[in-house]
Amino acid sequence: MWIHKWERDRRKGVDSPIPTQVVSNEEFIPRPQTGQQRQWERLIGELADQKSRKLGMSRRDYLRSSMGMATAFLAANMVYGPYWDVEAAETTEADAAQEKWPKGEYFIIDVQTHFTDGFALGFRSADFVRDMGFQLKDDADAYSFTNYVKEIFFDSETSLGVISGVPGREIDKSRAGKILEGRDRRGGILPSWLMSRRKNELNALAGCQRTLCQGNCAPNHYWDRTKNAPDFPALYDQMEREVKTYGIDSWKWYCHTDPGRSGNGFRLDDEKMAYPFYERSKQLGLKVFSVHKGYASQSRTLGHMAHPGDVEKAALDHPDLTFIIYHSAMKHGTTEPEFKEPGYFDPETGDFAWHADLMKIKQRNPEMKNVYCEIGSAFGTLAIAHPVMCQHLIGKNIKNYGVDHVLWGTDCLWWGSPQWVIDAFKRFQISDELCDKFGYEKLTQEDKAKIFGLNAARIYGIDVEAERRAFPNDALSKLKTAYLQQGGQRDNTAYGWVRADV
Amino acid sequence: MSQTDRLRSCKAIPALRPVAIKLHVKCIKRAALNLLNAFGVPAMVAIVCAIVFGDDAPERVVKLPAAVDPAAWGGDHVHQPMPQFITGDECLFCHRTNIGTTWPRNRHFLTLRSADPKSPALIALRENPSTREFADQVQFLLGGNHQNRFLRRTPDYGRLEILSASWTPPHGGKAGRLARTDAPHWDDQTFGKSCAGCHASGVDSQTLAFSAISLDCFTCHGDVDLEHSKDGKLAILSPQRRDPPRVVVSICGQCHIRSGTSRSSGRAYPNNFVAGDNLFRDFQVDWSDKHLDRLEPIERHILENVRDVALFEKNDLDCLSCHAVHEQSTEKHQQLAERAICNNCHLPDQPKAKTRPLGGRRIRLCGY
Repeated sequence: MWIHKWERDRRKGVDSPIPTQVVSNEEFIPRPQTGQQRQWERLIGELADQKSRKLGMSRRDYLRSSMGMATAFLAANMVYGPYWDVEAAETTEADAAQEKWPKGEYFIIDVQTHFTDGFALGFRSADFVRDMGFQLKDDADAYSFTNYVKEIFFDSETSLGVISGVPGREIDKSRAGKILEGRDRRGGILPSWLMSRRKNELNALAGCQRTLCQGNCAPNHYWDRTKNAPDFPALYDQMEREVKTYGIDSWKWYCHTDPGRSGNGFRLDDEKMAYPFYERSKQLGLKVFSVHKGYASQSRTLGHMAHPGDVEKAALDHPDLTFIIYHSAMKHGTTEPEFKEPGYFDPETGDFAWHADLMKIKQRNPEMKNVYCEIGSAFGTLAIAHPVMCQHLIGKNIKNYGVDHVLWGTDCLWWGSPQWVIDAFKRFQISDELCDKFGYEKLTQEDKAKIFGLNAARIYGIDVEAERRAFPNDALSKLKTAYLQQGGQRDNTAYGWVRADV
Repeated sequence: MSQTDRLRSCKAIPALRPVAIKLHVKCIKRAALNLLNAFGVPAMVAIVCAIVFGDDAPERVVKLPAAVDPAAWGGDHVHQPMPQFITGDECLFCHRTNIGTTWPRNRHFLTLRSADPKSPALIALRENPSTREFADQVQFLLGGNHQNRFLRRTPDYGRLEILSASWTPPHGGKAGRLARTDAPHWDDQTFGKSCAGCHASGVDSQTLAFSAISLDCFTCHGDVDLEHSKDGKLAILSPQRRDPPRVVVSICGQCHIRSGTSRSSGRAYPNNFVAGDNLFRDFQVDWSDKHLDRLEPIERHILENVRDVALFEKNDLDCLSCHAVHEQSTEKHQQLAERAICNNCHLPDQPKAKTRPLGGRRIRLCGY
């Protein structure tokens, strides 16, 4: 039998600020709590009882406070190992968490943020989001640019967001041959023209640089069916439009999609398709290529082209270009069935599918400096679903590519405001055991500052100090202050369904 | 058991029908004479139909309403440009979890798939001396349980070549085997002319070029408007929309009716069909009882259901009443109340697991 999580919690006297078991959205059978989850939940209850009594608070009020949140992280460490940075004082002193984790401590550049052109995608009510107990609006407004500004900039500490592309291509001309503009160019759920327009609007509003944007154009988007090859004149026209007219800051490629109906995807190391694009892009002065790798189920027949095996040659052949590998090439997300298949993750080596291949590229080519690992929808999901894999993800990225080559991304607002991911990374740490066994380094505050934003600032040419000076007085900061003063809050509220018999 | 029941149970197995008739010829004669004496010619006709057509023949002959013109409604895209449809990869960006994770195992996807070098078909091709040289050239496999074909891309857009040799997978205790291995060669015509319409998507009937391997979302959902994210009813066959049975059978029938011909192209697959079109404005089908009765059970099952909807406007049942396409589930199938069309495959008054053996004339268009 299924019951509401809150009802089960009430029956069991549980009131955790962090979901301690997978919560269902009614569309799948909730998985029973594991032994560790039960232990975690019991510990939260016991610790909260003790501490709230000492403080003269109700347990419910206590668990809703920053001290309650710290208690949940502390209990998690007691069960899974010390991968959350939390001190006992934070569980009894309300100001301790604020002192230790002050807002604005880091300059955060989120290189993977999205909204849509008014389309509801269903992501915000995805199993994984609900598993974390978040109740997010999932209608078209929730995916709008307005909500993007609220969730990215008002509800989180994100300093600068890169509006990141999704698969889709623009149509350049009408059937009558007329050059199309704006919405007439179509271009999918988040077209290049729209990313550019919103970037310019927001930066103009703010009075400083708060957003960057990407362009969706890719080598197989315009196809000459007679030659069965890229329609280079059309492709170059679109490239020029995106760089010169739209002012994009990076390309966003999905090698495993085919919006131009070319009949295939493309590889980064394809000398006939990708290399001419690189050369043209260099001529246009744009040298940043953000590439989706991993999450292979997003393609009907071309999922294999999301494998990072083509990064090596492309990066070596073009040392003057920057390749940002999104999702760190993690092949399957935590909610995909393949994630739990034997062999996907090897606890002996810490390797998991396709991420390991990305790591080997760097191991083979230690001199290669132009490949970066982005951690959107990889760090956050693993932190909740598989803390050990999460430590391997960050540990290996840093060990192989260097802490200067790991980039912060969240894939939000697909998953609501990114603040929960930011909070998690602030507290995240790699355990002594894994450091000893696999040669990982403990993360320092300096490391986190690089990952959170300094690395991306270097790639995108952002003057962090200038931005820091400008931010407090920009219009966005003033609006945020007003919003918070009026009681504005994130709507990350736990709810959902769990098994009644656990 | 009465004579009639015995006769029915024997007739139910087509292969045994001649034997049944021979064994019971005396009974039939006696019964026919009795009926003729008691009720006259109509009863005599009924029993003859029962012998010739089987259990449900009387229902078809007697009860069907008057036929309508199946081409009378809707439109088509014959001779029109292929729509600039959203490709499946764009669809799966959003539908990654509910569809993307299961689609690689769906038969509609697997109908044409990347060739796995470790598959038994490829291993057999590699081990056979006459076909060995072709094994490394194979890029795709076509087909399922009955027959597999080997394919590769050509330099031209949207074209595949098919190898003359084929593979019959192991079945019923028989080992898998290669066929037509004499003088193996690549054929650059057959796929486009005969196979592309149902094993690829967005086929241009003029050039025979396709725009996507296997079945893209476009095949069943048509040229979907992105606004469907706000209003699911805008996408054909979406759960929020109840498409009329005639639309459903047109969509499924574009490939599963394997005995039709496009009037405009002359090909065995529809000409530029787009989900939502009326398939039968251009796709000619022999609806006659005579044709149906020659088909093997599964083919007959499909065509009979489509005919019920398209010609006789029996709208209580269409393909989706029983078949859950994305889930490949039999749950809906099992939940459905029993009705006459079930007897295309199942035996009346028998356990449901017991189905009719394959029989009748196979359509030789392809191997499924």
